[in-house]
Amino acid sequence: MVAALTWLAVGLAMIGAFCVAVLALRRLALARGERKRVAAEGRLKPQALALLDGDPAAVGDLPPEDMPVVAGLLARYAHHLSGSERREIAIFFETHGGVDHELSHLRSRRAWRRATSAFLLGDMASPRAVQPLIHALDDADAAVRAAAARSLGRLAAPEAVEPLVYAHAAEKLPRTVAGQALLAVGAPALPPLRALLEAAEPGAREFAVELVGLLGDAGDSPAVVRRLADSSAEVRAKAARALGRLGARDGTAALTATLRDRIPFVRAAAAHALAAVGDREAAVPLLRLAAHDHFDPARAAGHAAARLDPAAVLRAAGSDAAGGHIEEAADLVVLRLP
Amino acid sequence: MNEVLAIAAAVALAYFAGLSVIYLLFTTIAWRGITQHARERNYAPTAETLASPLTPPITIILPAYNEEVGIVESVYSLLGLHYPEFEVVVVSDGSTDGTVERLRTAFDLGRVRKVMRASIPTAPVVATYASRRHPELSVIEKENGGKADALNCGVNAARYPYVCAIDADAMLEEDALIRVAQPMLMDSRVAAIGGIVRIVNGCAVQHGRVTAVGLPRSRLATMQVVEYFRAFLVGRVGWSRLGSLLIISGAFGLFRRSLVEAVGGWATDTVGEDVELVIRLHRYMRERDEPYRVDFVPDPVCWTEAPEDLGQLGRQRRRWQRGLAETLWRHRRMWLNPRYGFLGVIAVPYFLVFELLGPLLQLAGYPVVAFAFATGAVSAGFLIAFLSMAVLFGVVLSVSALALEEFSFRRHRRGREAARLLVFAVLENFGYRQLNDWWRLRGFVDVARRKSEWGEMKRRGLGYSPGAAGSPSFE
Repeated sequence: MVAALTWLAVGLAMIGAFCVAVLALRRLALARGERKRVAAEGRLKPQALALLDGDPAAVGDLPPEDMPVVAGLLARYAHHLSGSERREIAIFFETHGGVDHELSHLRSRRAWRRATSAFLLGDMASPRAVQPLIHALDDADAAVRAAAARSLGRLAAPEAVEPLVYAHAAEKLPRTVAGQALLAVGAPALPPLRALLEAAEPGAREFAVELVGLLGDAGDSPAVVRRLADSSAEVRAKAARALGRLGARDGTAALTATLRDRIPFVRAAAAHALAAVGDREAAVPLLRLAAHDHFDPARAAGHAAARLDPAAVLRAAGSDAAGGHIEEAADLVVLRLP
Repeated sequence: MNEVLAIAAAVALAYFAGLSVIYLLFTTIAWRGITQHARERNYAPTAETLASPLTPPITIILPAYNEEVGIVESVYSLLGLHYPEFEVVVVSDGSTDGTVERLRTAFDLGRVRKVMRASIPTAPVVATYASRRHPELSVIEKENGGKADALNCGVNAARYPYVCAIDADAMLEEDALIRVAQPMLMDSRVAAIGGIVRIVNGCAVQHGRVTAVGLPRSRLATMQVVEYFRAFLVGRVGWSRLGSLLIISGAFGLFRRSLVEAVGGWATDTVGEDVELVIRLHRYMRERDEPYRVDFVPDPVCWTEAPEDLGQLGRQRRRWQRGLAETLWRHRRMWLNPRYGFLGVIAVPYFLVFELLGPLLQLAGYPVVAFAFATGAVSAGFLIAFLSMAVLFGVVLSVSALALEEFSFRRHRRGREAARLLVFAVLENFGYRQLNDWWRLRGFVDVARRKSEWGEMKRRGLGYSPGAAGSPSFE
């Protein structure tokens, strides 16, 4: 027993000493690596910038060991660039094999490797990556799907719009990630999104209407107004919010009618939207809602009414029938008076 | 007599062996978890989340009791957080100092008749205020009801679907909210998320932000830095990976509001309200067979001050022990109950045997071993080998926690600091751990005496409340 314990103690002492040695060596290695990286980046920055200015020869004769540093710099710049500079970046990564390298890793057995490649491909700006990334939206790993979505947004690929919407509707992509990718695609995403307003799947309609609200303009309001009569409460609520974002006054009547929706969160969304649209006529029905509805729609209605017609809210707060939400809205009006 | 001593020695050995196996297992799991997390940071959609108008908004609840010294700075630091949409609700829990007055002056507050939900009963609200300059800030003044009551009041006032509970003395890093929210954004089943708590003593702080990371001068606080590494980087990452995280620090946690309301909010009749809420959430979801996750993210940093004198540290540890005892007793139905899966069969019993009863067993070991040696039941060789092994095992665990930090976040950049941490990883095994066990043992006495108060907190320059950080023992 004593011998066993002694050997265990010796073993533990050796493990401890080994850990300490590894820590010390790693510190030294990291410090050295960091110094080298900073020096190399400083040296190669002019060549990378020359490439972005349309001079591919600037990096053509660099030794192979410098290429990863240039690639790192260009991938970092790609976050903030568009147009011809991104095309130069794409050509660099395509001609130097970066794109092929990462595409091959998209089929790796390791999820983290696939996710890393999916992420890097977005910064390589190459349109060749679009289809493989769309396939990656079906990956078994959530992080790979999220990285692919983010890269599809970076590549501003309109053909990715429908897969992104359906991936979200199928709960394969979180709302924030899919939404931000679609917003990054920008105006080219609108035609497919408009078509998806009539999709059979409620999840797809809900997401499409939300995105149309963020990307579209007042011309989209008739199609969005139609969704206020959707069978899904989530779609109706998102349609109301979208109308608020579009700021279309022709949506006021439909939104005011939505204040009578049977679902409280739809009524709350309609109240928020009416405040954003800015039609003072809506203040009266909003005040009615604020006085009598459940907590969330009443609160939203009180605040919306205060934005549209502060004087009406102050008057309403003076009456005995005014509920707490109107009083709160009135107090905020007084508080924020100049 | 020798038979009794032999049995006691066998129990001690079995206990030590069991603990060693569990710790090693957790260290391995944590290594895997942290290296994976470090990799995931390279492709996490953090920037996209920050830019997105679709990111769900969060209500930050800041309960404050007599925090006049640091409350303004704390609120400023929260208002500067990087997150697309959030509100800050400060709840003054019957403060008798100038907490509300300081806020009123600094943020140009005006009185507003704020309507609040009645989801969770709380002590009466005295007044509510909104800021003229910061529409996202509101302040609630209520009668004293304790920290849990103040948090519940904040939940009632919250506008948004997620609530982030933080201590008035805690300082969040600018991107802490966006990082802690990542699991919730990626998976709608997430019920609650905890972030890492680090010790601010020794760091440079400006306007409620840590501008340079450093180590405390105080030896006691430096021991706690090592202790926190072990607790957060090994313990919480490990339990989280096993789907059985029972503790989310009271200093920094994010919760789905609807769930907090559904379980009735933070319990007001225990000093361990943070652990109690998380266990209740687990129970609630498991009893309904609903899919859910309680997660821990090791890099959104919340800084908090560690006590630098033995008196305060002792009171803090006694309180933690009391909170744990009250909570485990309240949820005794979960003990070894397969209905709660791994949580009931492994996690809760672990907390019971190794965290709650651990100090008792470990401290009892010293007189037993001494007596056994004195009576000749064990040899000097056995005694030395056993004690050496126990100490070395503690050293290895602490060093591996430091290694985890070094290989992942590496916040202490100076080599001198790393060396100091290594020295303290060894030193803490000689006295500090035993002292901790002693305090925790006294926590039992407090439970027996039905002590219920939190104890007086000594306030310092930045409005810290030492000890509010949640137990960093190996949970």
